[in-house]
Amino acid sequence: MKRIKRFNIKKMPLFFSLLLGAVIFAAGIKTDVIAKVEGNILGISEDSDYLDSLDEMASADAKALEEERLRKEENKRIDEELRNSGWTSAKRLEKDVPVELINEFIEPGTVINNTVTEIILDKVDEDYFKDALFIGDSRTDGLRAYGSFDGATYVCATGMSVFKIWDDKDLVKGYNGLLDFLRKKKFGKVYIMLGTNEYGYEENAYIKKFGEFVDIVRKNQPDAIIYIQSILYATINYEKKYHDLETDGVNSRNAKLKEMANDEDIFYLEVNDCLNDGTDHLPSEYTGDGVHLYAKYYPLWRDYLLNHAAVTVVKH
Amino acid sequence: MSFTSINFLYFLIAFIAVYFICPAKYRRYILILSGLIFTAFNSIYGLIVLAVVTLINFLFARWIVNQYNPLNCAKFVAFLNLTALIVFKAVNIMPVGFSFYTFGFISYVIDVGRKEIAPEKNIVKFSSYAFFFPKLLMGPITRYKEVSDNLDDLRIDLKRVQYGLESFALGFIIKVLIADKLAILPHELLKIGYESISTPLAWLGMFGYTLQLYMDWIAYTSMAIGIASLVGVTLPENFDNPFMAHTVSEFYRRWHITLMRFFKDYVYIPLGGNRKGVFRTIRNILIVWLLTGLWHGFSVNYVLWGLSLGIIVVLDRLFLRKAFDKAKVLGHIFVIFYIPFTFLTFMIGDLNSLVLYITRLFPMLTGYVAEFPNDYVEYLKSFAPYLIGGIIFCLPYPNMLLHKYGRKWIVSIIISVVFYFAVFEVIRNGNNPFMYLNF
Repeated sequence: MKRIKRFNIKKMPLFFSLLLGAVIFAAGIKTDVIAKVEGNILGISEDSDYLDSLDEMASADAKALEEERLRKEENKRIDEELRNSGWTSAKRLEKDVPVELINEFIEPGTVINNTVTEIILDKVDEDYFKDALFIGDSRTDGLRAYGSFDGATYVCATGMSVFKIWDDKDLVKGYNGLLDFLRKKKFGKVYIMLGTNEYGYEENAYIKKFGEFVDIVRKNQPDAIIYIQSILYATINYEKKYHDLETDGVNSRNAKLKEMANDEDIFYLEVNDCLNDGTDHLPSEYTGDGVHLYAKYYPLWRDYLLNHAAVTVVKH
Repeated sequence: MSFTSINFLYFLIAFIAVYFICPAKYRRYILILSGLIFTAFNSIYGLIVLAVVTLINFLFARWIVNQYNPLNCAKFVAFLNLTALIVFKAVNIMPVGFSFYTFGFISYVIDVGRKEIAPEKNIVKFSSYAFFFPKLLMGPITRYKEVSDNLDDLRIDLKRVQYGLESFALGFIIKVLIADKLAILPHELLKIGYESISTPLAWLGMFGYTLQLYMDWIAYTSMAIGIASLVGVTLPENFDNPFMAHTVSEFYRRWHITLMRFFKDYVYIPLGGNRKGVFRTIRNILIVWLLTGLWHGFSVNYVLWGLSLGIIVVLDRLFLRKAFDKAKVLGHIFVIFYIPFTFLTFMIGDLNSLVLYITRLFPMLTGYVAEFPNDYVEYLKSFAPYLIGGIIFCLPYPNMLLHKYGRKWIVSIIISVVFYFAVFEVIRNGNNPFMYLNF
């Protein structure tokens, strides 16, 4: 046993503390203590309120669907009636018939002065966004930095996804996570863009999660108009190189996002329309890494939002 | 395998355990075996190249001594190695670490040709040098003659074990908790587009990049030297507080020391060094810096880098060094601004973007007015801890304190805690330090 030196603890304390640390660390990983500590650091916890609201939603789902169906039928009926008595819906106007834009939100189909109202996407001015909330990932963060609206609120973080958006309790300063924030502050419009970081997930799982997200937002912001923004394309080269954010997959997801809109208080915005190189890809000169816009191109997106906001029109 | 990956930690623990148990005379085989595994993990191609190059240099060295003119033969062999280096670089099929270990072999054959060292007859011993994995990824560029005696006597010294663990743990911590975090900043600027960044942000980016580069280097070097110490091998120092220098010449006696000494001993001095008059000296300096640039890569950027430094080294020799010797503070300031400026050639790939970036650093050149003049504030806030950490490690105090108080239990405990926190970070990021791959 001559080979085995006397390992004098005093001469190499780091060896022993690292060894001890390794044992503790491994034990921590095995017993999930580390995961729990991580959870606390990252703010993942079992929020009973959130779970309650999910439960409520599940049971309210059927009810809500029924209500929705009834409302749509009612609108159709009013439309039909008006048409039969000689009135035309403002949307089906000829180009030269003047329309008046109304600033307050009016239930579509409301009859005002013997005219009928409709909601279309049209131009608004900057003030429109003073009570707007933007929720999203690093793209929205870029919009916040380089294409922001005065007075709007931005809740965004790099890497954000619908799968963990409720978990980060430090997401909004002064509030205990996004749910807390949505409960306590009311907005006139909520703009959502989430989907890039979830591209790796199975499409239906993402859509389902996104739908739940919209439902919770609606529940906590009953009077807000919700804008679901499309998932943005990546450049051709990015798609080729990384086989990620493939246009077909993005289009497929966007189509399903579009179905969530009701064109009354939930709208779908095809933001890609202003960032398209003609082949359903992000133009290469707009970006350095294939996915994120250069600062100077965010105004394109900003302008798109200015030109595609829900406004009520009335036919004279 | 990156040194800061979980796989590598498992590998390292296994390697140390086997090495410690193994009797001293068989330890060379453990070094060879671990080197084979380490290289194979990166690529089989790399393994084959390393094995072939090792064998060729081993055999050629023994052939050289029997020739009429060993030095010329040595130069021929060196030339072969260089040709391989150039071809691999040009065709872009360079195996990992090739630039580093090739220079090790070149120094070996030239030393044999100069009769400074006898050629190694024992292929096992030579292979244990060639396959020594700590130095395979990023150096230090080690000369055979400086480890030859060491390899005859691979014993474990407990003090060196402590020192080795300190170095490795510190290097690991710096890489994961400082260097990798700082790496995000230049990437953010690329995303924004250099056209839109404000001048303060441009300066922040430049300093941040240089800091990240240095942290990366000292982290890796610390880990390499630390692992070597654990097994009783002394690798040469590669960095000696370069940012404490007050002239650019002095900076490069403290930065990537093993590369600079290679060029000094095997190019500069053979060309005559500074002993053949002013013009020859200037020519020699510029040649060396041109080659140093090309070693980094065959592109205009690196040539520009090399020459931008070569010119200052020439000026140093003519009058600048004496001036800064008298005004050390000015010299320090010059170093701290000029060196990061030269590293812009590393940070920015194409020349147009480089010029654009310079117009952002010096807005008076084009009358640039930033559209978002306060953009640097949030970056300063989020990167502040890493910038401060990096600056602290540019000073000599952390190392001084570590080696003075490293043996105290409380220091060991603190290091261990921070080390495991860094390990946890690695796991949390899925072994992927580049978090910007998250959108």
